Amino acid sequence: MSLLEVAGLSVAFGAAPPVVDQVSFSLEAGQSLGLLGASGSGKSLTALAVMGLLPAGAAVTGGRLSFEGEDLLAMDPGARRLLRGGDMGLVFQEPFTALNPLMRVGDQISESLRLHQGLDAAAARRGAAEALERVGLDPGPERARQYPHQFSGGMRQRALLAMALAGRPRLLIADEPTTALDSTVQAQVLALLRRLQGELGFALLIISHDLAVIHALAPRALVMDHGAVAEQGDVAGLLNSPASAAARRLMRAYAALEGAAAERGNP
Amino acid sequence: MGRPRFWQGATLACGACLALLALAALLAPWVAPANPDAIDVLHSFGRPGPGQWLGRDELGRDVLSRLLYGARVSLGVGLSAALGMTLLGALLGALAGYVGGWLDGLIMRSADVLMCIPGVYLILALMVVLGPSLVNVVLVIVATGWTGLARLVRAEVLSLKGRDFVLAARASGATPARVLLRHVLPNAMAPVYVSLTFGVAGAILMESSLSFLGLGVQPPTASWGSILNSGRESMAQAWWLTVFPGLAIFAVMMAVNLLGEAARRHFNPREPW
Repeated sequence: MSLLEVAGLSVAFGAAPPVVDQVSFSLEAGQSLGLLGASGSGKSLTALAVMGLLPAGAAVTGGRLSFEGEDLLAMDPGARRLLRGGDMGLVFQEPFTALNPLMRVGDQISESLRLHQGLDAAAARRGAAEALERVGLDPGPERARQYPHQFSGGMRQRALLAMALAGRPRLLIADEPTTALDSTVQAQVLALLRRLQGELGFALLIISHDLAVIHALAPRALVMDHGAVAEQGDVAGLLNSPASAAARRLMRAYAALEGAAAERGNP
Repeated sequence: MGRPRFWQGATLACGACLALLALAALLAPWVAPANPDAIDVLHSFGRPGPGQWLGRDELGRDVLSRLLYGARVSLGVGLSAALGMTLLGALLGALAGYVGGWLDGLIMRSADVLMCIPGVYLILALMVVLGPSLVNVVLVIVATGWTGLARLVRAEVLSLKGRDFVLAARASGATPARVLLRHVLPNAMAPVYVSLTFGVAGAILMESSLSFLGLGVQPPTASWGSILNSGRESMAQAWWLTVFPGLAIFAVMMAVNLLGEAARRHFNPREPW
């Protein structure tokens, strides 16, 4: 039995044509899967549908979602909510806006610990310090008591990771986790994700428009285009011989960037 | 990075000023030099001086005593009405913005209806129906005063609702109530502080207008507004009848405003000190 099983998932805004169209994939415990596609191809909505956090107006119109064999769509909202931050974690694209500016970073992490593990305030504070340490942030009391605006972008992304991982999820969905970061920090965060996956053993659904990011984290990937799965297979295969038009477009764009970089390198 | 304490310098002075006024109001029967309603027409319009430090009014009543007793009415009405309408406005606005749907429609259309009737007439009509009493003054000010703040808070909440950190809180399993109270509302507090501080001044003045029209406190009971209003007619010969109650109202407004501004800054960690 797979950890996450998505079968024929469709998502639509009202009566409009579906924005996610019959997407199917499965993810085994501890494994990684990439979700590759241009902006607007339905990657993020797929992730939000799995989390049960679709924006107002959007709804799942077809298909099945199951997590550890349990039907997510039939679950009552309370149980679904407890899965979030517990067995399922989500990391976002924008580290600059994903932390509450008025709450100390440590409190934002311990909030989830208190909710899911029933810890008291002191134990949750210790848990938050551990979570910060795990993502490579100084766990001292000073750091946890700081506010998000005192963190750099890379530090915020680490703090978000700590928050998502505090509940020891079995599935982590990372939606463009490095897009807003500069490339050095990007490499650090990717390495961190890989290390944490090795330590904690969660399954990772990594969403990106960037082949390099997917390549760094997942052996297998789905290519999405206009809401549908255009192609799937192992990432090395996608890189060498993309079959679908969407995949070829992404490869070409990627190659063009590399080419431009190479040209600048040779005066 | 240590943050300065909240109670220091200007905030301490404002807090002390309010506390002193409140204490004076509470202890009025013991600290007032004279009976506030004792008429002494032989000394009408007595100048400020020994024994009558703030002078006497047209009926020879001691202004200091009337101010002290009036503080009970004015501070009581001002603070409770401002607090009531701020709480009501913030709560209804947050609910309308966060829950949306028919609740949003109900709350905001009620606000529209209240807002489209000129405030003074609405309050007058309600007071006539309810009858003059201090409790009714507070109730009516609260019932008509929440609309503006509700609108502002609703707009803030609507824009905050879609922010990433709210989604992140939901993604970590927070309940809707927790998301609203811990993540959305604290970020929508700026208009709330403003409403609270302006509300105090507005309510004190509204009470005085109602008292002037005979719909608030009934004569001879003193309130700052009623002293001010009755002193207006004799401003040329007895400046102390308008200056002292005016100063009292000004001091309260100033203190509450400075406190509100300090609170707004203090609870926003990004504001540099």
